[in-house]
Amino acid sequence: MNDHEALIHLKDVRKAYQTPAGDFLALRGIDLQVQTGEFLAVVGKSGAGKSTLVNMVTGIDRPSSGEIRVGAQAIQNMSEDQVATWRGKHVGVVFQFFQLLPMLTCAQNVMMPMDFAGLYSSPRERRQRALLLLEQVGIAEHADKLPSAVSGGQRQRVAIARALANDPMLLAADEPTGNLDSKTANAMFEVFERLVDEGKTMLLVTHDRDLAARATRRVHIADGEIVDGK
Amino acid sequence: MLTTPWKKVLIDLWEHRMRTLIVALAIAVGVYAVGVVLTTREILVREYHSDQAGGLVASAIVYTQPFDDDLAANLGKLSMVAAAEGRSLIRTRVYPNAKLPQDLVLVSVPNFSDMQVNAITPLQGAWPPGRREIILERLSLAALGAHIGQEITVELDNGAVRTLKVIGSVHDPAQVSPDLAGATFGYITSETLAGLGFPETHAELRIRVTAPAHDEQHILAALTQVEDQLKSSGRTILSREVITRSRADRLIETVVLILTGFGMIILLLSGFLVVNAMSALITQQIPQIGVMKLIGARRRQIIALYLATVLVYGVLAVAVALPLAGVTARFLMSGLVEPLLNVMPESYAVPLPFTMIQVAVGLLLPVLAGLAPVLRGTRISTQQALSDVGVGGNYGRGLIERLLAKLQKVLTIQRPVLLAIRNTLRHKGRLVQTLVVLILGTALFVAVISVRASVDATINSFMRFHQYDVSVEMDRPDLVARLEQAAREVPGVISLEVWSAGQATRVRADDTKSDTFKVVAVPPATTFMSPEMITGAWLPVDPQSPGTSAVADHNAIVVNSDLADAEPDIRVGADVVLDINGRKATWRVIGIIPTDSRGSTVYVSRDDYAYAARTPGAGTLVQVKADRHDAAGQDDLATRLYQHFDDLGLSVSGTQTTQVIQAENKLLFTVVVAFLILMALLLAAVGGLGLATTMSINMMERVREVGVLRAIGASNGSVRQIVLAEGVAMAAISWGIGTALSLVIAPVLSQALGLALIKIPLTYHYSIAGAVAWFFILLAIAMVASLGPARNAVRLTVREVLAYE
Ligand SMILES: Nc1ncnc2c1ncn2[C@@H]1O[C@H](COP(=O)(O)OP(=O)(O)O)[C@@H](O)[C@H]1O
Ligand SMILES: [Mg+2]
Repeated sequence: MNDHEALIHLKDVRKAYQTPAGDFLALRGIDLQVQTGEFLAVVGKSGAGKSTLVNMVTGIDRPSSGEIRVGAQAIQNMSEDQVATWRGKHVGVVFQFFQLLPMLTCAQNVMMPMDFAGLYSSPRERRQRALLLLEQVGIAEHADKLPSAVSGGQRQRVAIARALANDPMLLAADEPTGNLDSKTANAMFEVFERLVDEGKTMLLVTHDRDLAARATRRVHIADGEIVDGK
Repeated sequence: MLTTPWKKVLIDLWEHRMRTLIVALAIAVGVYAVGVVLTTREILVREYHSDQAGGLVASAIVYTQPFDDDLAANLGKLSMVAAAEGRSLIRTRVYPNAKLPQDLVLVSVPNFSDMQVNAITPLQGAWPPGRREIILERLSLAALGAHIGQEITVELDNGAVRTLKVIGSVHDPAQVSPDLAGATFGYITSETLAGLGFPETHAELRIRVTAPAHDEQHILAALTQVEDQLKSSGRTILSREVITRSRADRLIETVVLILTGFGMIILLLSGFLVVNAMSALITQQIPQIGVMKLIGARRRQIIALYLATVLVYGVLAVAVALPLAGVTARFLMSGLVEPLLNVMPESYAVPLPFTMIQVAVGLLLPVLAGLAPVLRGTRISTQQALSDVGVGGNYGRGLIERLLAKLQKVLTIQRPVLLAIRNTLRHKGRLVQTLVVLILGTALFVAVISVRASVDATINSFMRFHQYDVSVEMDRPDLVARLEQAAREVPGVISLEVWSAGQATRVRADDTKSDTFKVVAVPPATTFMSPEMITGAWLPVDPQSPGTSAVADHNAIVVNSDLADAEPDIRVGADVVLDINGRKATWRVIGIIPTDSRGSTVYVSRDDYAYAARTPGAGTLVQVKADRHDAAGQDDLATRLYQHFDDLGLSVSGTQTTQVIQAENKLLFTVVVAFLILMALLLAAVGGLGLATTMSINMMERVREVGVLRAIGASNGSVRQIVLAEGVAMAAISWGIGTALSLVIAPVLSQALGLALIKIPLTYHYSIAGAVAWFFILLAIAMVASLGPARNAVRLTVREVLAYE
């Protein structure tokens, strides 16, 4: 694989958490390249360091040492604000627990990233785009409901639509199906597959072996190290 | 159209209506306090001064032998004198519709069309009065129950009865309410005065000096000019009065002091409250802040969103507080200041800068209060914010928690109570702020209520000067035995004493004279008066007794604190020369007593006074103890005493009951007490809101916890018990510390207020009832504030609660 063409490039990334019992090494020197258009599944036991790894890539958290490059950006050197702006435009993130703003409707949740990034200039254009995205994930009819009024699977679709708001190159999902039944999880996975087909790069953390098997590539993490799939 | 983040601001405000309301109220209390203080102070001082200036109030009054308008006009030309006018005051009695006569002072004015000193302004009816016509001061018109067009009958000192027609009302800024002044006032021409049988010449010279008109040294210098000229015209100066400040001045200064001091404290407390609410709000919003950062919000954008939220609170608060403060200021002016101090405001306009200050406080206070929590809350990393750790999540490591753990091993603390204590300790910063607000609120509230109680105690202590029921004042001295005999014949009289009342001036060592003051002469071993001593001793029981030999060479006097203040060299043991009825004699000061709030007074033995005034064996006041002490009973006896004396040919100048004296004393404090109560209410509002905010914010945060508790089988009752225990604990702790603090603050406050208002500390009285009442108020607030949200929490199903974001 050619280093320079990789969308994601991690070199010797280490992450230590400070705990009352002393430093805890959650990532112990990760080297990883992900190419544009890849569908990468990250698997491993609970506590292995999967979330920590994804958080490094999305800039949600910072490494203790090492280099992280996504696209042209060296993330570890950016300020929190720079990361936020960059992420808002280039990375969509989906979590197990949806993380929607409870007081806003589904459509408004989807419009938020456009507002923060200042993309899609007029409010009407933003709403049209939000409705389009909600339609793509199959819940356009719930656009004006509050998250609390729709099911878990539907909330996760809203979260995906929101992640796609600013048409990012990379989508990172941390156990997005962990809270859903297998049928809903399967439908969700199909959405991801379609997005990859459309040219997005996908980073998916999952427990589900069957789902992981359908990704184009798998990395297995144990105790903060990649043990398989590098 | 608003972008979604701004919609979020509005939606959050609306969805958390209760919190929006509480926070806006907390800010509103602060803005209101500032507003009431600033606007009342501004309107009060401005209108009082313009009223006084419009009234061309005299700087001094000189009492001399009769003079005419030409002499006054000449004196007005002196370099330091702006204007001088003569006045004659005739004290008469009128018989309005009530049974008892009232004092009416007739003021003869030389020229109604051009008054240069103590000018009066026509209000209703005709102007100026003609022959046998009178114009009443507006408050006197009301006090007499008279109406324009009515004829009133006045009785002169010589017993002659005349009628005068009331043709109008005027405003005289030099006069306070008749209830405070003790007399009503009416204005007549010199011709009318002559028609009543008095000379057209004047006995009082009223002077207005050039600027600085209120400077005592300046007034005294001007008086020297005036008096030199009066003396060179062959007249002697009988006495004089220098007017640098009126009683209203002192009242207004005291009110301004109260307003300023408490206004600042209330603002501070409501500031605390808002900080508290803001940090709770931000803490609660941290997961959402995390989400916003996750989807690309920059810190600046998030800060702007929350400051906008805070600004909305401010705008709401200003919208409520600004008009309310204006209304309150207006109400205080028209309800208290206007009828009591006789200030007639020309306008209640609030100058723009004062409105701007209120708006600034309303908008800046929340922004300043919110800034720190907003900055702190947005500084948390996205990862931390999303997992919401590191915020209030450090339970178990602090000293108090460890102590609690130990305590738990020793005592069996009920688990719900334990949970409540832990919850309370979880947000220590918030706990401390709430407690500070509650403790200070409690301390000041109880202190203010205690000051109020001290005012009552002080009024009661004034009654130590009046331990009788009815006082009958004679027109001229009469034999004590005759007066005693006459009074005993009236049924309902239990016991009596004959006193004398007169006037004196002090002749100082440099031959200058003091202002005129009262002399009260009491019989030996009087039991109708028992003042507390500031220093020295009360009048000797028997001047010839051995214990009083120290004063054997001079007659003894006791002076009150007003006189001791006016003449600072008067001390116990000092010899002073008094001019009584034109005769000088030396007296020795043996004691100083507090004022009875009625001005400078010396107290002497009746026999000493009779000798000095050359009226041996005589007295002028018959003080009577009655079988009934209520107002109606005293009134009834006063009427019968008056009639009986009249029947016997004894000329009574007036009667007074002690119930009326007490009411008049109360009136003096009415304005101040009203302001104190307003401040107490504001403090109660701040304290109550403080508790309410914290309790309801705590509950909102704990919806999930309640869900967990219920999921593991807690009944609604035990959930309520946990929540209540927390509120009650907070109320009880702050009440305990607050009342302890009030024990220190209350005496200081009542001393300061007394000194400001009546120049002596108030008779201190701690209000236990106030403290107890406040405890129950706090308890009630704690219950309401915590049970409301608790009910919401238990109403949700377990599933809903656990899904609550
Ligand atoms: N904020 C934190 N502080 C301390 N330790 C943490 C923190 N976050 C994660 N860890 C620890 O790091 C390890 C990896 O966590 P994580 O990446 O969440 O695992 P996974 O997602 O694979 O379940 C775990 O042992 C976890 O306990
Ligand atoms: Mg994980």
